[in-house]
This record gives sequence, C-alpha cells and structure tokens, in this order.
Amino acid sequence: MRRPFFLVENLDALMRAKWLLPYLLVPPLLAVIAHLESSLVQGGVVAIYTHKARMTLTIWNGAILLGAISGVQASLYFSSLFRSDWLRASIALPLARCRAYWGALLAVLLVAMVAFTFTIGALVAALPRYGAYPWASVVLSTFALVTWVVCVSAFLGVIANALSSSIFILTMMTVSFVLASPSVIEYHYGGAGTPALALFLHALPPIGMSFFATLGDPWHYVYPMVLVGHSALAAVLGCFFFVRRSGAA
Amino acid sequence: MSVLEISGYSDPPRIRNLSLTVDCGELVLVQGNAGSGKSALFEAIAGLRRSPRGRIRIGGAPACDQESRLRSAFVFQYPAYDPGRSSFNQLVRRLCLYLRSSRDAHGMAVAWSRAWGVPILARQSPDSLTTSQSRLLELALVQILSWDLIVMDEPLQGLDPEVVERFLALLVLKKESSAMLCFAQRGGQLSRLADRTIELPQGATAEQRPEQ
Repeated sequence: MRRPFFLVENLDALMRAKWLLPYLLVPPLLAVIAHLESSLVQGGVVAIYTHKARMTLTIWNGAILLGAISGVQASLYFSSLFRSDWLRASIALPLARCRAYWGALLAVLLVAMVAFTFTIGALVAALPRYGAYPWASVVLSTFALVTWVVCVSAFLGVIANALSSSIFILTMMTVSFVLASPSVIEYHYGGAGTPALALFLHALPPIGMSFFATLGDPWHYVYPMVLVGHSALAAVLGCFFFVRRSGAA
Repeated sequence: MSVLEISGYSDPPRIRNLSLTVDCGELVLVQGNAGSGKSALFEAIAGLRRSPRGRIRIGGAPACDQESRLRSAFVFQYPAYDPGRSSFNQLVRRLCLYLRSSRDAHGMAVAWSRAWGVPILARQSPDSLTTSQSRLLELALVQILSWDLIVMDEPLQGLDPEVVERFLALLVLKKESSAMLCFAQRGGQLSRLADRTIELPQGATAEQRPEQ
C-alpha cells in the first residue's frame, strides 16, 4: 500500500467534477470543427481531402482539442498541487519525495489517457471505414501529443504558475503547427530560410511535423519518438526541480 | 543515543548555532513569537527545508532520510488533509503507510473516530468538520500509532477546552515511549508537561538542560 500512495491520492483528487467536466467539451467542440470543415469543403474553400486525409484530420482534431484541454487542466492542477499545504505535509511522510511528483504525473496522465481512449474510440466508431487505414501510426502520433502536454505541464507546474504554463503550452502547440506547414518547410528548404527559423524548426517539439508526417506515405515514426523523448526529458527535469525545491539535501 | 539531535543549526539572524537533543521520555517546548524561526526549524526537522548550517539527525539518520521519517510523526500548523476529499479515506491511506494491512488501518480509523467524536465515517471532507475536529484529525496519527519522535507545531491551537485536557492526558502516556518536541507561540498548558523550554529568537544558544 505504501508504493502507490501518491498515485491513489492524486487519482482521488482528480475524480472531482472540476477536473473531469472540461473533458466533456471535446465532443461538442469536435462537432463544431467538423461542421466548419465540411462547410469549407462544400464551399470549395478547401480542396477535397482523400478519405485517409479526412480521417487523419478528424482524429488529429480530437487529439489537439484533448491536448489543449489537458494542457490547461494539467497546468492548473500541477501548479496548485505543487504549492499546496497538503502536498507539503505529505512529503514529510516516510516515502521517497520523488514519488510525490511521479504519482501526480502518472495520475494526470492516466486521466488524460482515459479521455484520449474514449475520444479516439468514439471517433473510430463514428467514422466510415475505407479499407486499410494506418491506425497505429495516427494513434501513436496523437498519443505522443497528449503525453507531451501532460509531461511539460508537470515540469512547468514546478517552476511556473498555471497561467504562464497554459499560455506556454498552447503557444508551443500553435507555433509548432504553423512552422511545420508545407509552405514554411518549402520556404526554409528552398534556401530562403533564416538561421532563426532553422533554430525554431529544430528546437520546437515536432507536434506539427508529426501531424504532417501522418498525412504522408510512408509515415515517419521519428517525430512521435522525438516528442516522447521531449516528454521524458521534461518529466525528469520537473522531478529534479521538485525534489530540489522540496528541501531534500 | 538521543532520538533527535540538532547541532550547530543556524537560521540567521533569528537562530544562531542552536544545539539541542531530545531523548525518549522527554518533552521539549520551543517557544517564540511569529517570525522567530520556529516554523523554519520545524520544517528543517521534518526534512522539508535544507538548513544552510548545522546538522539534524533523527535516530542517528539525517532528517530528510526516508527511514528517519518512518518512526516520526509531524503535525503541521497548516492542514495536512486535502479539504475537498473524504477525511476518512485520507486517514486510512496515511495509516496504511505504517500498518501491514488496510483492514487494520480501517479498524483503527473507525475506533479513533468513535473515541474522539470526530464524525468522519460518513465520508465527510475536512471542510465539513468543526475547527476542533479538523485539528483532531491533524493529530490523529499521533493519537493512534506509537512513535519514536513526535514533532508538533501549535498542537493545542483550535482544540476545544475539554479536548485539550484529554489530549494532554494522552501526551503524558505517549511521552513514556516517545521523544516529543512541541512548537508554540505561548506554551500555556504545554508548559506543564514540558521538561525543558527553549525561547526563540536567541543569540548563541547552547543546549538547555536542567542538569547543566
């Protein structure tokens, strides 16, 4: 019973309406996006996608929405938890204090993953099937996005407040998508890129790259792997700062 | 060997070179106004704050060591229970850290709740308890289990007068097998039980033992 103390405590804390209800925003928001998208396609504003591209885009829409909601939720949760009296008193219990950090991270990740599974599961059930579809690549790429969001929130929760953490995560997601768009890549690799753009392209988490890679054939597994690497690095750094800040010698 | 050993602890400008030992069967009262460095010293003993100078050892091990906290109870002035969740579940999970089975923890929590009249069985959160009952909940681990070292910050604050008397009587029993260190702005009724009292802030402080 000693080992999962912080995991169980955090799961208990997360089973409250204020942490779960925002995930209910995903289905209506997804419906609005799908409606807008189909009106753009019907109006000829956007080129008609292939079936594969349409399915990929729908799943990514769900994952991005879930990622944004998870990012804000996790930022709020971690930054309040890591400054709470409850946690401060709890790390005086006979448990390794890094467990307080990993228990909280794992609990938030579990909740986000359950929401992710329901979202993707509902989309898969709702979408029409058109022969072979690379489910594994799309699910792995979108899973990496949600993992990245939670891990970076945990790291930022230790060193920053909820507002700056949320803004940082949403900005990183947006900029990563913008800079990974084919026109920017073409501009950069066409020789017109600047050193600053090159730095951005290499330093940013490859969320956008991962998205565009799932649209292409063959799929590049490198991007989700890099994203998981970013997540692991952020999580470990967060643990380091948490333990230092909690007064361990 | 002393249960708690503090040597050369400094928290300038409030505390300089504090040395103190607390043995089993002793209750030491640390008294001082707000800002006198009591809370910082308490957190350093609980392993939540690195002391820039000095050494704090519990049962021979460093204060931040996991093993040293296994036989020590810390009662904070601030709430150690999440105010929005079931008090009962939180208490049982804390007891499980020290007991072999969750059934034992469950039984002890129920018995404690009945004995002290704290209605946590109906899954109430600490928010729904009175101030005195919330404070009793903070003190529950001290009351239920046996400890080598008990460190408490303002243990009597917020308790109803009749509960204070009962709790003090329990401390007398616990003192036989534990070393106790209590922090308080004013000693009040705790002074009656204290074997020694240390006033903060102080300048160069040597260990204050009656026999010295």
